[in-house]
Amino acid sequence: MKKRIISASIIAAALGLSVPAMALDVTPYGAIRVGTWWTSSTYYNGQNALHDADFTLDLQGDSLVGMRVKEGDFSGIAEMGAYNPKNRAGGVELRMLFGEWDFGGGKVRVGYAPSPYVFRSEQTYDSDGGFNGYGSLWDGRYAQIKASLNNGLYLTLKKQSTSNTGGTSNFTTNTGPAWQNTPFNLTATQYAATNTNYDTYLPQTTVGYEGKAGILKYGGGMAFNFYKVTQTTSDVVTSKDEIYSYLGFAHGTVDLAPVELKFNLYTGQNVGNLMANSGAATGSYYFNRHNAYTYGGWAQVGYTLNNKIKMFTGASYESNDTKESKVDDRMAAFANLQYAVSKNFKIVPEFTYLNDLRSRTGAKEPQIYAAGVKWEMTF
Amino acid sequence: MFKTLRVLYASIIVLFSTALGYAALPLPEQVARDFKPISGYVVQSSGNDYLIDLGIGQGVVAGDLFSVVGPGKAITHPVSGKIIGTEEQVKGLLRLTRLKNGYSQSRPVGAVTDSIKRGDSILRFQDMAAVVWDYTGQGHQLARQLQSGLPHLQWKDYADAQQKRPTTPARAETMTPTLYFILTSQTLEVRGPDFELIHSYPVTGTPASTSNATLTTAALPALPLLPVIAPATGGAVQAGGEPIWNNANLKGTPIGVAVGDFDGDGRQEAAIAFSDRIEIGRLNADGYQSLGAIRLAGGSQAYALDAADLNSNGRTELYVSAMNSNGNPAGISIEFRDGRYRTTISKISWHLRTVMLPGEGNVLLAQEYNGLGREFNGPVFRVKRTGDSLTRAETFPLPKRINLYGFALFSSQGRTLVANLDDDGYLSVLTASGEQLAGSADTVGGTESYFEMNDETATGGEPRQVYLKARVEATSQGNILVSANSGLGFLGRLRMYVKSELKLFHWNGKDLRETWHTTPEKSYLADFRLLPGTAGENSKLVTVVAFPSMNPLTARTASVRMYDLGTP
Repeated sequence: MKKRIISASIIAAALGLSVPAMALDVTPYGAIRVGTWWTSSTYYNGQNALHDADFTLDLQGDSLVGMRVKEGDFSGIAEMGAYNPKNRAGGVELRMLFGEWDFGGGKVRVGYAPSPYVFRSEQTYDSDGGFNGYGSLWDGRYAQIKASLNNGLYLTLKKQSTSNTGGTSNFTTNTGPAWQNTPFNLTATQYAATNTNYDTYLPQTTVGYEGKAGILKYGGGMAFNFYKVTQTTSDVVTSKDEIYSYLGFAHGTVDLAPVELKFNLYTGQNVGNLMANSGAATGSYYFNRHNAYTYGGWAQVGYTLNNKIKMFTGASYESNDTKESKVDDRMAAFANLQYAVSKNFKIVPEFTYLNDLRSRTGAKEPQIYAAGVKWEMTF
Repeated sequence: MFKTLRVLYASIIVLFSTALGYAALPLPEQVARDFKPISGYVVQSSGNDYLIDLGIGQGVVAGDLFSVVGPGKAITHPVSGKIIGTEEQVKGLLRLTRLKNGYSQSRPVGAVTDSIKRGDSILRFQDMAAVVWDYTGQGHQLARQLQSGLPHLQWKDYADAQQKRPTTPARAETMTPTLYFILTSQTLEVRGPDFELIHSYPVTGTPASTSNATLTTAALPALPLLPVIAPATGGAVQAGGEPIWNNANLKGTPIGVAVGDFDGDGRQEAAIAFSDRIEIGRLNADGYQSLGAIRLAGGSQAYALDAADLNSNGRTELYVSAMNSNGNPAGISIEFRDGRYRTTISKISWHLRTVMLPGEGNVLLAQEYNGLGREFNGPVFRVKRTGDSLTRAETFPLPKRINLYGFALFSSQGRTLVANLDDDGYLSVLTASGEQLAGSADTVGGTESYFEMNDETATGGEPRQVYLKARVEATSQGNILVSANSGLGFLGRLRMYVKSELKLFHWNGKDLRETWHTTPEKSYLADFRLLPGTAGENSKLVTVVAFPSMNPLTARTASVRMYDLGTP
């Protein structure tokens, strides 16, 4: 991560210093977002329900500074921000770093950016979570090469995922110290009688389409990811898994100004393994040599009262089933009001409800009621 | 045979003159005024420059040439031997470069035979050798008008000059006039000894009754001239730089202004657009009289305003480029119909802008918006109006990377050029193929008008505010008007300009020179419109400005102003 941050800083500095000579169009921007929340949770120990209530005030993970540069047909973005409060120890996060070439018939993007199947709601709880993990396919950002055509078709080749527990990807264990924490640590370089070997063959691939028909803006596509996991104990292979992940997704926006309808739908196999999303349900992962089947989505209604006030409400649901155990499902709902105090200052009171329902073992999972305000300044 | 030919020739000339409707006119007042002799003194030297005692309001403009005259040899009486006077010695030429109150800066042109001293006399355009180069073959009458109207110049013989002139205007190798009067089919240009442009006047025909046409005027048709704002070499504040009235009763940050006869009553109205409304008022000689406002749909945000009479009913329509509450283009057209202003077209899905085209006038152009990452998508195209609907017409050819906003077309030496605001804020002159010919020395333009792109928001990106390029307007004389705002203008989502002026640039065929500007002031100049003078009236400028506010919770004060440019 430090390397990424240093690289981004060097690029940003170089771009800034070369402005007069190259006549670049350079546009810095940023956002400061703070969340103040009163939360009340109910969680379970078997059938016993326990409760907790707290007030939190913290910098949201999507507080950022960035810079957009443009010179002719080429443009780029470098964006850095705060980690989500849950990972504040991570320091500063590289959010985006990519260059883009507009070749007339389309664009080619090379760099570090969100996945194309991400489609978030207006929910602000959990650092503008947007139903992350509850019906929204948020999986962070990855190195990628994306080619999009003016007709709406696109192809994205993304860093492959080898996650089987959520969070960061897993790596082959018998790599040498020099290779730790680099993209190469999927390649074994050191003998170990007991090891876990992750083999990958292709980038995570997404093909999709974005289009518009009258008042409907829509998009959809397919994503695919594949890797093998081989467990060796004392030079004996004890397990071998081939994990195929598929994802089909669709989303849309209906413009009925001043009303806006939005929806997001998806279904897939081993979606957790494809997305390496720490917020994803555990039931969305390949488990005990069983594929996990997921479907989910969210719907949202927005209404613009005037230039100052917008209102949104939405609900989401996701179901994950390995066919071997129980269904791991969850749901969420929210309602908020976005009030523009001025052009650059917005406050968003919101009520959110999250319910993890049941885990794949059938156990009851926590639920949270949250009421709070997002305070946002942009520049 | 020859007699028959002469009669035939005369008849053809009469027919042509009748058809063209040209008639002889006296030398235009503007030319006489521009070259009227004015005298003054050298005040002092200032580095390489000299200060002279002629300044703003004394009839001089930047670019004027002055002969510097010092005392020469003493003139003694042949009998008494007494000194009865001194000869006048012309030391050289000075060009006025910057006007000030009470004095001006000037710079020597060419060689100076003796050092210019404090107290030396200066004479504007006095006794300077002048020549007419006529590239129309019809300028003999004009040459005679110039010679009789400007007798203080030393005129070269017209016929001799015609024989010796180069095939295309260029600094003379064998002749050494101080002033070149170069007549083409489009302009009369006056250039100095270094071939720097001093003044330029468009040549236009004035309809005249056929009964006034005579064989003489037909054979030697005079080409009447329309005077223009005087180009100069500096960036001086000149006449017209101060508003003649100022109405500061508006609230909000304007995004555009349009002027026209909206209600067909023969008087001019102005529309001032804010992001949430369009205010309409009448332009009077002494101010702006509000007539009312039309509010946009809730949550909609206007970002550009233009006006054109596309349906040719004598009532200019307003065309508002706007985004609806969901971030999709939803422009509207407002028209005075059945006694009130109404929205007659809505949900216009294009960006709109009117552009003045040489030889064609005001046309409405448009460009598509693509919410999937291309704020300006595809080529610029013309728009036609049929009833209450707009239809896409033919593509409007422009050099690559030029979008709908921030450009103007103008004619220069027979070809159409493009004045364009580059992405980095400089004004450049381009050929139709996109070759850059010149650029401004400083950045200009800058607006606070924007629309928002949310194409990356759902995937975790930030909304992007696309700020429009400022309006660029070319005058009929080929000068280029553009605003110049400065202040907080580099951030992606927070802009507030606090200082502004309107600048006039002149393209002299080689360079783009700033020749005029309004008085700089602490405001944001949101938009302007040039109102060419009609029926002998002076041209005027209407501008809308907003004043800085330190309280973001309150609306800014805005003002509509009018400037009299002092020329038709």
